[in-house]
Amino acid sequence: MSIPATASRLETAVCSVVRGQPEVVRRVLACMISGGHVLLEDFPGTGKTTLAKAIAKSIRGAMFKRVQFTPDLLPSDILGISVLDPRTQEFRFHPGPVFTDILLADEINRASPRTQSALLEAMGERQATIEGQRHDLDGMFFVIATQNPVEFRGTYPLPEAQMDRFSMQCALGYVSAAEEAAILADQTETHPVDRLAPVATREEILELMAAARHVRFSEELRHYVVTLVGATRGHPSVQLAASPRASLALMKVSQALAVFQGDDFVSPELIQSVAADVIAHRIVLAPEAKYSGASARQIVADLIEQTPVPV
Amino acid sequence: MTGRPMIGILLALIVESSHWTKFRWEFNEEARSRAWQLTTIAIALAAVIVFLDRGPYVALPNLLTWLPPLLLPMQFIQSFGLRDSLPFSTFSFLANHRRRRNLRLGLTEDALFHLNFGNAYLIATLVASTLGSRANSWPFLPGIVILTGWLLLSANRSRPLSLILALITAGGLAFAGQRGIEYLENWFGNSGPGRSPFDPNSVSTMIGKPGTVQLSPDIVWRLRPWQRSLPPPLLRTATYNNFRGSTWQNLRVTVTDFKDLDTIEPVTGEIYHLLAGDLPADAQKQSIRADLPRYHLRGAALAESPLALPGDAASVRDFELDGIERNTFGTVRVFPKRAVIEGTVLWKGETNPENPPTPREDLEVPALEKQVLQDVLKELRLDEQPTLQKKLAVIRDWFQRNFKYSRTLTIHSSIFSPNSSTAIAKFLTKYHSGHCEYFATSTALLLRESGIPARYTTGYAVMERDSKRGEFVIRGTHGHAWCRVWDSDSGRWIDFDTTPGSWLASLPPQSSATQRFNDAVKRLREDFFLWRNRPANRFAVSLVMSAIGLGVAGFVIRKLWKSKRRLAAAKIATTYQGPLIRTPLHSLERQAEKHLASRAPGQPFAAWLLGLRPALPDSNALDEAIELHQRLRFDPAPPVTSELDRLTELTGQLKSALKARASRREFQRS
Repeated sequence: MSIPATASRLETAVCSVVRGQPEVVRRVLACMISGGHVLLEDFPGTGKTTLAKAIAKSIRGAMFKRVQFTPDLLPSDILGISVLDPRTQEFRFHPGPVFTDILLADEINRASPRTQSALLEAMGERQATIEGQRHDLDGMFFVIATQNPVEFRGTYPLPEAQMDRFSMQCALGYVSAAEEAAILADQTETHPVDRLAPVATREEILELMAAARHVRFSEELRHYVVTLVGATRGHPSVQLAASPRASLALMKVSQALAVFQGDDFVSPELIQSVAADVIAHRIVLAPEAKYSGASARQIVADLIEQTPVPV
Repeated sequence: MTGRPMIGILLALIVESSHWTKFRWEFNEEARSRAWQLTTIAIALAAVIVFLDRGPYVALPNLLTWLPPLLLPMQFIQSFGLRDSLPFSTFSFLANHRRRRNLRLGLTEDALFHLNFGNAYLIATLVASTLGSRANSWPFLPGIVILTGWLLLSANRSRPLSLILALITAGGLAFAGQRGIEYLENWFGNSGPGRSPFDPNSVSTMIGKPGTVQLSPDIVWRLRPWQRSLPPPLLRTATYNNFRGSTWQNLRVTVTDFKDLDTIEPVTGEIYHLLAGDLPADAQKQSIRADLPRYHLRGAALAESPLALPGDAASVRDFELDGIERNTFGTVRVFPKRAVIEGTVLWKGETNPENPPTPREDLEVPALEKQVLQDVLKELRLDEQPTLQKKLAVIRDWFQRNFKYSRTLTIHSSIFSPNSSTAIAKFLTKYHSGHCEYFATSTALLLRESGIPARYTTGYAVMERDSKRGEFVIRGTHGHAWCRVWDSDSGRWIDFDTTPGSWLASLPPQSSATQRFNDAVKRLREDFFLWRNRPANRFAVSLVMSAIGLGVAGFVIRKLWKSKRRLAAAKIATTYQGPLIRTPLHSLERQAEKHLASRAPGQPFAAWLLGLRPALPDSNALDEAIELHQRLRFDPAPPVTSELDRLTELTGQLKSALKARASRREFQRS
């Protein structure tokens, strides 16, 4: 099977479940292929969980775990715990949900910062250190976290360091009335996720990830990425600007997107199409900018418009 | 600003320092409208001051010269703000009002029109520099053309040749225009702004030209006699000795050049300018005697303006002048330090400002008039009168009895038939009606024919008393002409006016509302100007003005200092220095610009070119070309020659398709 064919099958499969959101689906898949993690911030009921499940179900052999984050959730609930085995008188490690291929961290901002941080190492380094013991995570480890942008009562906003670990932040948003009617029709009898058959194997996904790493990226565009990300530093409305990790993520996600587009090189349009998703959530706005109604996405959009793009 | 390099350099430093400093401000709508209000208030104040200082005709150019410092607040916001352009609502009260209403109603801000104030500021600077005092020097025009060219070329690199051509054309036109204006100025005898058009050596009269005498009713001088004494009846501005055609002039005299007046300083700080030249010390003292009658004179003056003085003026003092000089005919002109001058004139002196007569010139009578004059003299029998006073009385009496004053002139000098009599002859023998120029000219010629040296003098009659203010007002309409007669007994020139006294009554009344308003403005302007510039007030005025200026500036600077922000290094990010790849599709840019809106810096070329789709009959070629372009441009893998050739071919197709469409559109339009 060729690489683009796998990508397109995967995309078609997920899109058949998550209707009306082809761009978001592609970007989320690209994020996965790039080895990053995605934060979905959206209203309840827009299909965040469905998206995660659909991705998991389309991949044969992919493990899918889901953690509902609550204020009393403990780090060990995520990472796992060693329990004394009375028969052998030895501690036996019970791996937590983090040992999986795809992890859905639902309403991640409801857990305490301590628990949120438990994910930090896992997301950043693909490993978990539990009781001094290092455990490597699977090569395809992909976190889809969701959070509700409306309700703030009883939530712990993600710390900046945690935010920076997410390659992208996307929003699904509401679909058109026609699409919504189609969703209703789909789910009259059974849920389409249940009907979804796997379209790719776990190995194929790993191949896709390798292919994405080999997508060609010109020197000039590397400069463009650095300039674009660097423009957030020193922007008067920005208190905390995007890090080099943002540049890295922007490059990797653009490479993965190129795979989905069937290209073997990255064009500036690709970079621009994901720049806001990759950069905006890492920025902390200056208070006066925040209260005068500026948004991080808008600032990134302005920067895209103002930064000279290679022609 | 060419006359004030320090201010110009300071402004340039402030405006241009934005390029190498990292301080920036985020100006919101309120700050912008504040700055605009400050600018408009400053412009309005400057307009009032310039108007009061200079009068309406020079006020506008003068104000335009000061535009760059006045517009500085707006340019500061443009240079040091974070926005590239300012919304139109900043400048218009109505637009701002609508914006507020829209915001109140929950509509979004409609910032349809944006203005980069830098462009407006550039124009203001150009205009100001061309109006500056050094703009007439020869390096100015080439300099400004080169500067503008440099600016335009650096802003628009794509068409340097046409730009240079346009600049050369503009420069040539400007040069021609400047020459034309200079030529016109010479033609009209106006030696430039700030200089009086008054010619002390020639005045053309209306003798022999039918029509009505029109004079400006505006106030020229205001005269306040010392301690309720009487003012001099006639104030001279110039004297001439030669009549030719219809013009009085100064010809064939030994010395017509102006000379500086002698000055004496009896008490330190009290400088008197003596009207008569080369006086012995004793006579000098006589000219500043404390019991001489005196009056206070106030009015606007330009360089080389004549000073209105009585014929027997002794000395003047207190005028703030760079120079005061007189010629041998007693015409006095001044070089004022400021636009409005005031001072004291002492008169009824025992000396004359003018030199004694030169018999050849002061007795010369035009040949054409000789016969008529002799006939008149025969009738008057002047020879029978023993003294000059008696002779003058006879002449005055004759004119009073037989002649009528009229501002409506009917006498036509027929220059085409030399046999017919001249205008003066017609006046003396037939019409017996005319205005002061006729009377003064005839009298001067009659006296000369009878052997008495006489000259023609122009000036003003002091006749309108402003009892409310205790002063006399001299208007353009009070302009008059009379004779200066040589009294050989006393060795002095005396005034001799034969115009019937009725001329004073025949003047148009000055009571119209517009005239009263003009008078009030003029008075206010001059009085305020003098008050402001009086040594006692000057310090206080400058102190108050600088205090206000410094206060406002300090307030603004403090506010700015508090809200300043440092632009981090990232804004000046390094640009890509590596090799730039160009594909054949890049050559399509020029043509595409005609069909598409111009490309924003952040818009990718391919995405921009996709806008051409509706303009093309077949968009497949475009899609394929863009794909090839992207590959050749951004794929670091080595290019494939066949792809390059294909793209060249596709670009050619696209070009011809666009050209065909453009010509079709042209055709439809025509």
